[in-house]
Order: sequence, then structure tokens, then C-alpha cells
Amino acid sequence: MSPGEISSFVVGFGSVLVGLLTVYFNRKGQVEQRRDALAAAELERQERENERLKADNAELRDLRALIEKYAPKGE
Amino acid sequence: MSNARVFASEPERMTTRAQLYLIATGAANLTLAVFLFFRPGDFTSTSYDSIKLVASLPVWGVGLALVGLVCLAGAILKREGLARLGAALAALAAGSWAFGFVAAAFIGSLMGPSGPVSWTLLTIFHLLQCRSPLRLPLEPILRRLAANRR
Repeated sequence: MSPGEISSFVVGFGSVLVGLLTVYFNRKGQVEQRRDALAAAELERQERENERLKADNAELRDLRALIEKYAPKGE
Repeated sequence: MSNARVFASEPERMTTRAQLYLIATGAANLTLAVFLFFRPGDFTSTSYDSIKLVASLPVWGVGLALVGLVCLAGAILKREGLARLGAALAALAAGSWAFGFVAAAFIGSLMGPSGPVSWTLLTIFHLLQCRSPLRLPLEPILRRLAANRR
């Protein structure tokens, strides 16, 4: 093989290898980004649900206090 | 605090550090392109023999100029697609040169190891940047530490 052929082969091989790696890293990054976005959305949903449950809980506590206040004594 | 919690509080936009990376990469590629195109005679080392055998230096110059312009466009417009393309092209260009120096070692014209080592390092860095072009690789870790400290 002539030096030109060796050079073309090695550089060509290297370029293809690096090209495949760029595709792999790009895809991996995009998948991670999508996963993070989904996880963040789920977390937001859970936080909203948590807030709603807290509000329900407070309402129930108030109701219980009212029941205890107005319940007939001595029964 | 989880990664998701950190990211949930921040919109997906390019950080200043990632923008600086793209500007530096673009400027480096453009500078090299100018020298390759206008002063190819300056590249006298035999380490460049393989690179010259694959394509003439002005042709490499045109290629690197395109890479540099895409990187700068990504940094100025702060667009994820352009940043991703810029990092990928920069990795491809750096990888081609790294393997060019490796080829020079095969044909016995490599003058020293610094060329392949530094260009391989550059290639790896560009590849890591391909993964998340909107922020540098260590930024999520730093942000998580900062968030935990609050």
C-alpha cells in the first residue's frame, strides 16, 4: 500500500468511527433530555397532587374541629 | 435534590459556558481554516503529510471554516439544533485530524506524539459536548450540588 492509500484508509476509517460516535452521543443525549423532561413533568404532577391532598386534609381538620365544637356534650 | 427537580426549575436554554465553548470552538476552527487556506506553506512539519495526502490543505480549510461558522451560528442564535450540529462537525473534523496524525505514524512521517494526543483529546471533548450541547458536561453536577446546599 502506498502512503496515500494508507492515509486515506486510516483517515476514512477514523472519520466513520467518529461519525458513528457523534450519532451515538447525539441520540443518547436526546434520550436523556426527553427522560429528564418526563421525570420533571411527573414530579410537577406529584407536587400538585400533594398540594391538593394537603388542602383536603386542612379542610377535614377544620370540619372535625367544628363537629367537636358543636357535638352534644356528655354523650 | 434530584436532576429532574433541578431541571424542572429551569427552562431548556443554552448556558453561558456552553455558548463560550461554541464560540471558542468556532473561533479556533475559523483561525485554523484561514491559515490552511491562505498560508498552507506554513504547515511544514512532515506530521501533516497524511492529512495533505487525503486532501489539499485549502480544501481542509474550507471544511474547517464551515465547521467554525456552524459553531458560531449556534452560539449566536442559541439554537439547540445548530449547537448539536456544530459540536458533531467539530468532533468529526478533530477526529479526522487525529486519525491523520495516526496515519502519519503508520507511514513513518510523524514528528512527535503531541499532535495525535491533543487532537484525540479535542475529539473526545467535542463528543461529550454532543451529548448535551446546551450545557457543559459538569454543569448538571455543579447545579445539583448548589441546589442541595440551599
